[in-house]
Amino acid sequence: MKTYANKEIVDAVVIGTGAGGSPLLAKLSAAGMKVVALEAGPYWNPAVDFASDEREQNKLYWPHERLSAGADPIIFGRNNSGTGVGGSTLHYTAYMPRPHPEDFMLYTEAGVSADWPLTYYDLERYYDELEWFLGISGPTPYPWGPARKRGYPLAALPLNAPAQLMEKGCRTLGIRTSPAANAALSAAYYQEPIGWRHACTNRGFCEAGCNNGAKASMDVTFIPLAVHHGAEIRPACFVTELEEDRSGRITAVAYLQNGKQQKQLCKWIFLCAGAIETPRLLLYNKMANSSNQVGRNFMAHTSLQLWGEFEEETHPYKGIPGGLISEDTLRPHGADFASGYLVQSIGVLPVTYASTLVRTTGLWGAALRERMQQYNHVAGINMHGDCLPQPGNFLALSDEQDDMGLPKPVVYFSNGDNEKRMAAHAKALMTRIWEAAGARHIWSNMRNAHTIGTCRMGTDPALSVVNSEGRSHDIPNLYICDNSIFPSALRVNPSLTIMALSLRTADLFLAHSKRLENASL
Amino acid sequence: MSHNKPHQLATTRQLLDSALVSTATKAVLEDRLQEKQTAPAFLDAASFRLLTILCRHLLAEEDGTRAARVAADIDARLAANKSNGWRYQQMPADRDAYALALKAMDETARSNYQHAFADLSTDKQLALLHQLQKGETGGEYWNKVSPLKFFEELLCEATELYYSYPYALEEIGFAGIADAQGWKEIGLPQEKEEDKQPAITQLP
Repeated sequence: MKTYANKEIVDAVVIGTGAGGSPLLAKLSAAGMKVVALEAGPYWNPAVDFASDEREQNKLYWPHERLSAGADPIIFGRNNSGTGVGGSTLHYTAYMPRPHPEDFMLYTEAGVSADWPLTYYDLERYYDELEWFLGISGPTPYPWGPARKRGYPLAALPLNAPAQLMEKGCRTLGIRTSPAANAALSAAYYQEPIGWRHACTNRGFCEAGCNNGAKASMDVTFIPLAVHHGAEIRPACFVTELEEDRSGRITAVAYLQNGKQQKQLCKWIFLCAGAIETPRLLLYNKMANSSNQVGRNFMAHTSLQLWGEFEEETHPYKGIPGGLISEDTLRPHGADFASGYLVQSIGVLPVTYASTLVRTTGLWGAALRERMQQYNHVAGINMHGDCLPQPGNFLALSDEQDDMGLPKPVVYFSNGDNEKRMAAHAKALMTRIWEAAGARHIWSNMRNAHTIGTCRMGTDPALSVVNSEGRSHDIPNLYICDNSIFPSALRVNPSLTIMALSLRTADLFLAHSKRLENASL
Repeated sequence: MSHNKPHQLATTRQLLDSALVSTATKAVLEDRLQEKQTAPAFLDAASFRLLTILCRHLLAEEDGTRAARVAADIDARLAANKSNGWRYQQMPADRDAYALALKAMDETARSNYQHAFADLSTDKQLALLHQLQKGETGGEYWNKVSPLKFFEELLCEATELYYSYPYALEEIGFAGIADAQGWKEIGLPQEKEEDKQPAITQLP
């Protein structure tokens, strides 16, 4: 791997190596730019470092404490952000549905949330590029949404027991289903300069770390591509400060590397640390916030889970957890809420299941042990639905400091009427599906998944943090690219869209910097 | 419902000696199966003893060493001042929450029954735990820490730790540790694969 000296003024520093930072890192380095990526976590070697053990794999989850407040405090930890080269893609389920055109225009459609300053069709070619670069397994044709230029490069992954049970329940009720699109390989896949990646072996540990490279986390896809093109990946670097000159441009990024203060000089900054760390860094640096919108518009999908026990043995740890999808509830007929949701089957690992069970039901003692005896008969069904921004849902800095002396973030979140009505609608439907599939002892847990918003993208500098290209309205050489810039939550798992934005941001930035260069000649 | 078939083909230890468990998984589980010193590093002796009793009840684990291991895991985390990445804003920092709540639990026992929690009968201990879960403990000792949230957090942490031990995973028939060669038959029904795969039985 190429390395750069701290004193060398590199073309760009990318902060964070998840779905937001890695694609643009690869694209910028392929364009010949000198780029350094700073990653707070370690550089894992999954084949050696990743065990089939949930407790051991807690090391993939962001360890710095966040404070959760509001009527529905967000549970962070294993669900909501990762650490290490690859970021949260190290533990994402790799569910890869595309949003639909109407998801980007919720304000136009229903007078709520916000329209994006771009459309589905601005991202369409990037979705296509990603599906083929990552090697997405999925059905062709995909039953919902606009017609596509081409299908998925690989056949859908085999259905596990929860997926088959959801298929059965939905068939009885006349609900359409399809094998889901997943960024895990159903067959070996070869790409220059990455080489071969192995097919998924159905371990089912996607959320606790894939150990054979079948899952398209950034560390086995865009990161090796970026390194091939000359990018430097610097792990264990926690960014603390963005240094500005008198003209308001950032000239250096200061960071802690193994407790030692370092500083990298640079021309451009790409802040891609996710919807919590990105606004946190800007807030304690008091930067890029003339709109007073940094930290606002925090959203988290309406993601109720419903569980049941079946006569059949389900072995819910086998196979990619989310095997089956239905998007028939994209805009449910006669609904008393705006937007809609998707429904997916879910498998689950035992510690995660036990933890969810006790937190939700309060079961303990002999009753808990007895219920856990049914683990091999459990299957779940899950929704991801839109979430509307509200003034009371935001991120701020608390008075408490973390181990590095930086203020801990506090995240306020309460579900509004729209989320509650949507969850009730989905719960009733999912209960019917599970009953039709033969489930007993059905229980559900309301939760909110995926952290979204906090540095909204928009055309009006008074109401947004970045423009439609992802560049700060305030700081001319700062770009933000992660789930923080989403103006609305969309109705699907966010990773594919974060990556699409990342590729688009890289293209727009390269054109922008070219224009600046030509203008100065 | 077909209740748990006896898992009689292999044990965790047998699996650990086979090629079905990856080297990384094997190292982690071998370590976890080691007998470990369970003297507390953060909590005082009385609080640690109380925590062990709470874990024993919450997990219905009559084996004292297993409940003590869970309590020791919690204590070790507190000693290292490690977080799982979040906490309820209304709760004090984890160290303070545990220290305060365990003291408060003891105070509640003394105020209700004139004895330390550890010296009460099992029935009275369980009654107090039910009170704690409902947030009905009362008393000024609970002013700084919510009994409801403390119960939720303790139950979650103890449960997650308990089901990280091979004997607990074996009891529920989880064979996911033995995935070094992956799984082929993942759908319904799975009879064919059951014949091929070692299921898990009790430890010898």
